[in-house]
Amino acid sequence: MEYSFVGKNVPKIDALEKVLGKAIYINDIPFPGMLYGRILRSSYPHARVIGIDVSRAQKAPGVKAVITAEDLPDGRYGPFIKDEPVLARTKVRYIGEPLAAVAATDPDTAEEALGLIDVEYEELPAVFDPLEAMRPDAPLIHEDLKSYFCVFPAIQEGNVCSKTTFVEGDVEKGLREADVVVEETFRTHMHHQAYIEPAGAIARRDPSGRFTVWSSSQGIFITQARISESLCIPMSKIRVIAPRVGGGFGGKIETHVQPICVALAERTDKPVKIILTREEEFSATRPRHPAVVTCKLGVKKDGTIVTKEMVNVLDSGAYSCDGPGVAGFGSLMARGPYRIPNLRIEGYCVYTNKVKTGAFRGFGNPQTGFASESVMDMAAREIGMDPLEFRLKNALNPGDKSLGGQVLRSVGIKECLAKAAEAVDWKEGKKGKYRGRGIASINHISGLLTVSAFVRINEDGTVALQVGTIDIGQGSDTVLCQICAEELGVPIEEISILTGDTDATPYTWATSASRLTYTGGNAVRRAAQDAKDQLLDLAAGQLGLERETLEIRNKKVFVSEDPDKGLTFQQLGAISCWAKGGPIIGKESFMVEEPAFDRSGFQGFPFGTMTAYIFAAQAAEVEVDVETGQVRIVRGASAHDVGHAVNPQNVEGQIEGGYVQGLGYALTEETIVDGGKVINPSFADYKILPAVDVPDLKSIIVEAYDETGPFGAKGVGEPGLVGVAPAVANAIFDAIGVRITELPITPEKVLNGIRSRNLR
Amino acid sequence: MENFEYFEPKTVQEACTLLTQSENGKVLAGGASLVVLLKNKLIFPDRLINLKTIEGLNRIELNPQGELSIGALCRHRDIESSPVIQERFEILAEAASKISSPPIRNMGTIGGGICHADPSADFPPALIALEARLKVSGSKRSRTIPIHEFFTDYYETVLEPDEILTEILIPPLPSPSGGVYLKLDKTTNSVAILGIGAVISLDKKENCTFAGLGVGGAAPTPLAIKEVSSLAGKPVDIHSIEAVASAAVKQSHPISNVHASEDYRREMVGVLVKRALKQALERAGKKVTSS
Amino acid sequence: MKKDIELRINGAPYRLSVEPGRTLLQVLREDLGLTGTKEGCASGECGACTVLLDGEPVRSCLILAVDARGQEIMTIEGVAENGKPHKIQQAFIDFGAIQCGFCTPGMILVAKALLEKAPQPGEEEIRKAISGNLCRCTGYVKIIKAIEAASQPWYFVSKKG
Repeated sequence: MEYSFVGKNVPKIDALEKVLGKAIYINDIPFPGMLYGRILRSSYPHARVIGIDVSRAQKAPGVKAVITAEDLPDGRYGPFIKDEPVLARTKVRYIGEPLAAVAATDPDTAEEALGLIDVEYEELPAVFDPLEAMRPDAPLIHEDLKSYFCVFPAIQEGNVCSKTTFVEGDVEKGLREADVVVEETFRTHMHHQAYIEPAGAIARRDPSGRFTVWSSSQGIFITQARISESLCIPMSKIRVIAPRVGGGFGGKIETHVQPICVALAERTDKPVKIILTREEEFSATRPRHPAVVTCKLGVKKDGTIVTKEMVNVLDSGAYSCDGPGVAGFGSLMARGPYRIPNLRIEGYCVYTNKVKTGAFRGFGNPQTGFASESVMDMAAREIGMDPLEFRLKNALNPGDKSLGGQVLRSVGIKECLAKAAEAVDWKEGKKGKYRGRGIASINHISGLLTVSAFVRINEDGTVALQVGTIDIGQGSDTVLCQICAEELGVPIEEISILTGDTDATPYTWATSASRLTYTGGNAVRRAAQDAKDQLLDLAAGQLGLERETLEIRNKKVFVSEDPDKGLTFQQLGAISCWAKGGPIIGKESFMVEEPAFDRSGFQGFPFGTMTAYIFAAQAAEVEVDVETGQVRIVRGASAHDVGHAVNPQNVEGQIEGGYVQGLGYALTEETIVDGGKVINPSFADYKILPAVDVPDLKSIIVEAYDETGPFGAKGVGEPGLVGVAPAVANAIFDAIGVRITELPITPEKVLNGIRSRNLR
Repeated sequence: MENFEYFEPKTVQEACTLLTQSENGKVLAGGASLVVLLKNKLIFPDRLINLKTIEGLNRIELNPQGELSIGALCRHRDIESSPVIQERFEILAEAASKISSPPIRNMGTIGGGICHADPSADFPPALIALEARLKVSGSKRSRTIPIHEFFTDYYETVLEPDEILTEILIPPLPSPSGGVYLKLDKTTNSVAILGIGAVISLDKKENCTFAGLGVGGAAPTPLAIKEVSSLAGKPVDIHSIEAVASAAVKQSHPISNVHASEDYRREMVGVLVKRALKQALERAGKKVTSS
Repeated sequence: MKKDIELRINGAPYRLSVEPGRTLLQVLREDLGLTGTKEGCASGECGACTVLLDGEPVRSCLILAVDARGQEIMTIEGVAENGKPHKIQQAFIDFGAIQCGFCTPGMILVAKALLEKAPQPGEEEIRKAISGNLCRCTGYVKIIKAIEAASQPWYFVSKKG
């Protein structure tokens, strides 16, 4: 079906201001009299705080306020378990934990004042490995764990803050049926979002005591809630606005500095800005959870998978943050896009004395996916089957069910696999002695929680769209306008979009979870449909006709049998405002509820319904230098089932960006922690790929139209990264017969593997 | 940043005098390293002396004997793109092309890079392989220092507080010669895990007449591998290359850091020295024999 | 002790009084309100602070403002011609080369400098030229396509992607 706006490469509506350098990001916003904040951070991974003396700092010239936990109410925040304070009170749990904050007339003065704050610590034994932290004799990081408020029934013990279990069928029976059982343990690492714009915020209090917070953020409503619960301020007294955001990838959903800005603004009665330094970004924000994943797969000789077991232990760092969700979601995704009748998957989220970890593109799926898709290859080779054929044989078809029994109708995984494989010439022979190809296939979701939208028909017939989403670069503003335009039949140029303001835009949970096209798009489409209904009703009333005789096209409501008889949107807009008393406002609050899970096999899963499954296959061809262990990616391919691409160019951008981030996850990026300290907190030492290291990359769009999605569309934001690391690991195995089970795949690990196979 | 006095001298002598008069003055060349140190509060100079306002320190000149003179204020990019360097001393252009990124190469200078004395810097191994000499001026004297005597420790050199590096002299290379700079890095052109500079010159009978070898990233200072001189006087074969590689490994005492372990570095010295010598020989027009 | 300097930025002279320790980036953003140039890391690694100095890309976060005297500085604000996007800017829009936009000003300046020196660079040359500008969103694919397109003689006439 051909649409006017959907399916077109509409240029992004924020593109012009960005190329001109006129887009306003948080650090571009000035206020008269603004103060600058800096944060004092713990230098111990685990210690009691005996005392903090701020008197010298308070007296320093230019310093306007110094705060510690003593100055704040005893509020704790967190998306699942409310365990995190704004400033450490009696205890610090990671190197980098905020203890105090200073507001001063300039950033340098604030920074120097930090050196005038004296903290007395009593060191406690620390634990850095999640498996060690699970032992009964491990130091307890949250003694009051059981007293924290949890938004879901968390299963907790010791340093384990949550446990999720999925059971389907009977794994013991499955093991008996299997001809071959493959089992392996994998380790994945701490991985940082490394968006180029450092996070930051400005808080300002108005005379009535209400705070406005501008925040480089993916979750303004989340920010509003966290400020409220941590500082015990009613949400009605907090407004959060997002300016242009320079990337997030999950790292800007939860708060970093916003509550501290608010507390300092309250103290000083001045606007207070805090922008994190790059060093703070790399050492004290919320990177991806490291994981230890053990995976067991039982298959028949003919390639049918009969059983799968997995234990997935996530390192949550010092606070839970999104950890329970990551453990739960990663475990849900761990079945993969396959029919597997017998399953047992356990996900643990465990505290350690390291920087707290959080949401990052994939949200647990990259970790379990690395294990799952590596084991798929291991099993295929064990039974002598081509890894691609093995996957195709077991891949889901439309009509199959998800883990949790949801019937899946839009399932494009087989086409993704076929096309990704073709793009790297899967069937051809190797082009070099140490060359190989690998593939991985993954599933993800794009329907979760709520997005609300208003569509207002202005007095002149143009349209104002309001949604609480935030475009962090992925193009959601443009895509939502395209959907609105298509539904209403109004050109995009006549639609304004307002996003990212908790006062002015209706609620959305967050820009995350690959959900804005599907969940947000459905909200916008239905709000537009609501507006259309009202237009039809208004026109029917004005024309004195039955609604059924009318239709809407080209910004006009007219009689189907007599198209000249009708009213334009311009006329209807004016009539509504003046004759009726107000504009037409279409509204929708779209909540993902269907299809529901059969939760009988679920325990401790911290989400409600998730749906709109999306699928992808990622392939890589590599060449290994067997003397240095270096791995060169010769080319890559990534095929994604997005239902229907609303903006194909945007979709490709997500696929390409995700793949390159995935290569970083696979090969070069690692936040290295030694004794609890991040020892590479800079771009000099945390290596993301530059342009010269990106291989020839094909991005492929597959469209298994989803009836429940807006114009058939589903999401794409996250999966781009998820399957890359296992595809690379599988390609390395194909090249040199070395199975790497630990990320990142460094030359040293490759060399060790080569040595143990006597390849040199 | 802390406040400091800022000067723009017109001559080298003026700059040296300014240094003599200060407590802990620093010279400013490209700024790519210095400004980072200033911002991170790792140095607190009382004065900063800009060398770019001194005329004549950024020339690249070949004298009739074939000796190359490179002004210390030549930018990496000038060296990368210089036709005479690309033609006659390609190892140096190659080393320059692998430094960091184009914008940094537009700012950083060869003199700044040498005097900063980062053991992983890209120029020193190439300069060592070429047996470069460094001309240095102080308030009281000038002197010329062979490059392999210049570095004393991490970020430390033999420069006196009032001395400024003004010129790098590269002795002429007979023809045919081949030189190569190999860099082991995590992402392309990031800080070197190892940098190997190798030069081989041949006579008409294909005997090696000169061989130079420098290794960076394997010790607190860039290393000159003296054993490489054993290649001279005969054709270069795989065994002699391997002997030099072993000597280089023995001479190395690398550290472990976030980019690589010391064991890996040490092993890679051997691998890359072999590759570099083979490639230098190929560029001189000959392939290595196995006899 | 402040120094009086004159900087030439986007063709116009600016008289300023600055401490020698202030960087060009700070002066551009804080003193002159030219916030199109961004700070991403403050240590010269990410490229968000790229400006052109006498037509060459440099890291403004590592250049002292006093050291930029006497040179022509171009920031992103100086790229558009008479208020209309330069063809490189238009190509970025047309080819989907912008996601979050934070690396975009630096990328465009590097591209401009490249195309002025090498009017029809190939893909390899473009990759090398932008290798000092980190992008976390796009994977560089469409940035390279946009620059390639902008370098084609036909591009200005036919602006369709």
